[in-house]
Amino acid sequence: MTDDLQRSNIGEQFADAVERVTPGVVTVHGRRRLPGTGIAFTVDDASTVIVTASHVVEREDNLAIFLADGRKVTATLLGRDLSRDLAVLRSETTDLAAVSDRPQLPRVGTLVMAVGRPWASSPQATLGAVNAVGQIHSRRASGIQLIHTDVTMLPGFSGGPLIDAAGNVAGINTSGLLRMANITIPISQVRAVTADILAYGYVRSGWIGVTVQPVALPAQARGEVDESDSGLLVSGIADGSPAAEAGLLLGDILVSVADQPLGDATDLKHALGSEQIGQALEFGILRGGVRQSVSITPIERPEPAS
Amino acid sequence: MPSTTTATRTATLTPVDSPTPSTSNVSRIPMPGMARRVIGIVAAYPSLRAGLGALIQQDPRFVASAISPDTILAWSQISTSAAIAGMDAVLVDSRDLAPETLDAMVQIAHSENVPLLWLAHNGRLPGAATTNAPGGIVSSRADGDTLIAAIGAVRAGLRVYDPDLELEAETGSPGAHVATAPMTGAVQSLSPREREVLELVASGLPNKAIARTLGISDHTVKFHVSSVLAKLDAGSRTEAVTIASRTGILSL
Repeated sequence: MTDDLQRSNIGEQFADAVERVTPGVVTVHGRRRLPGTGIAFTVDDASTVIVTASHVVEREDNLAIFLADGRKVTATLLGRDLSRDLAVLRSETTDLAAVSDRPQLPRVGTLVMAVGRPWASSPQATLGAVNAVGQIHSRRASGIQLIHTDVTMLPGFSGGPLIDAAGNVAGINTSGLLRMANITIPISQVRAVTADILAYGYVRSGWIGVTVQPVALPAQARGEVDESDSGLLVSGIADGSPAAEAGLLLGDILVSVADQPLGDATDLKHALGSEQIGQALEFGILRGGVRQSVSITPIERPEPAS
Repeated sequence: MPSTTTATRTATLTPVDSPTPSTSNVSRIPMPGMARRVIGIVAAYPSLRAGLGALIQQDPRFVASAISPDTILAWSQISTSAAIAGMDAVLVDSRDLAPETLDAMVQIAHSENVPLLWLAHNGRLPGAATTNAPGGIVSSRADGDTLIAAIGAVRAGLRVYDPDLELEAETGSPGAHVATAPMTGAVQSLSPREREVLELVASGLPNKAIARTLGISDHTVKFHVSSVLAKLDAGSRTEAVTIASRTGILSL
């Protein structure tokens, strides 16, 4: 069989895809037992960073990274995004081969592969399909977009890429976010997180100045707008904060934001992304049993004074 | 007998119609006429309860009955726990359960004489009471077969201990780390500096960056981070942030 005929076989196409992405897939030794996988990609200033899953990185310095070409380099932790289980590393070596992106979210049903390199010798891959895009484990529609697939995450696959049949990276796989599931963080979010960490040292987020605790809503208050049965009790309001200026009171219960239900603190955190800074948000609240609406404009989270 | 006015959130998981017996253990096939044993499942989240129930029900002898932490607290307050009395054992996943819930669980199990099997995370169980409870402890990483074996053992009155726990525990033994302060007490006991450090940890900053921001040494940051982890009884930075978000320590 000629090479052309061999490569037109769909099975071979997936092997080609793995080969295409492999140069940018690295092994990350960041914790005692099981190494993880990471990907190298180029950022705006033409330098390269390594991104992996945050739970794979337990040390912050002298992280051993094994590259596809056999070299071992050391890397330092630049920062994490705990809400997405991502960590961004900088290596001393500048000429790292990088992966290429697939910026559009894959469609449901797209065949994809998880690629891992827990053992530096060679990459491993598993095949699956995109099951869903969004948050399928929660009734609530709010939250960051995640890619759900049925690829098998072999040990050490966390932090590695999800690729399409062309070998482009659709996202980073992790088993560390939702306990009963493996999910993929879309590459567009990975890039946004990386850009923030490189520019500011952390992932910026909006801030309104409240501390909250999830509470069950009294029966008569449930289900007016949506199906939620819990809300966030405001247990603290920072002086001079957007929440204070908007007239929020201790004891108010936040039940929705931008028409999305608020069931726990993570819902609120996801609603306060950096793109919301300076943009007024409509909060549905329960005050004394009565539904009201309060508009609060998040600001950038103030740094603690030293 | 007090009547419950709130709906108890006890869900009985549907038994599998034709369970496939595990090929590795022929003795699990139930004797004809033997009623299935009810194993209670206590965990913080419905998805956890469903997952553990599914693992347990791989054994045709068992049927799982999911119990939410709210129900445990309600039972301990009204001093009735008839449902637990009918169970052969209760599997408790300690993750994200408040110390009050754990204490209530131990009390109920004691008074109804029902053995408990604890799932420990990072090799540790929060609360001194749990290490004195009857039953056993296995790692949260245990697979279905291990859980089923452990449940069988505690039902027979044996004490079960998972050697994997020692590998996981940073301090070396599951009983070594004991948090006796109730959750709210721990919240109040974070110093202002510790709260500052926690906010920066939540932002994802590495220790060096935290040190620079606050104008203190790396060493001092590490000390504060350890202290925060211990006070919140968290096994990792991520866990500390989750606990702090849920108990209202971190501002949003």
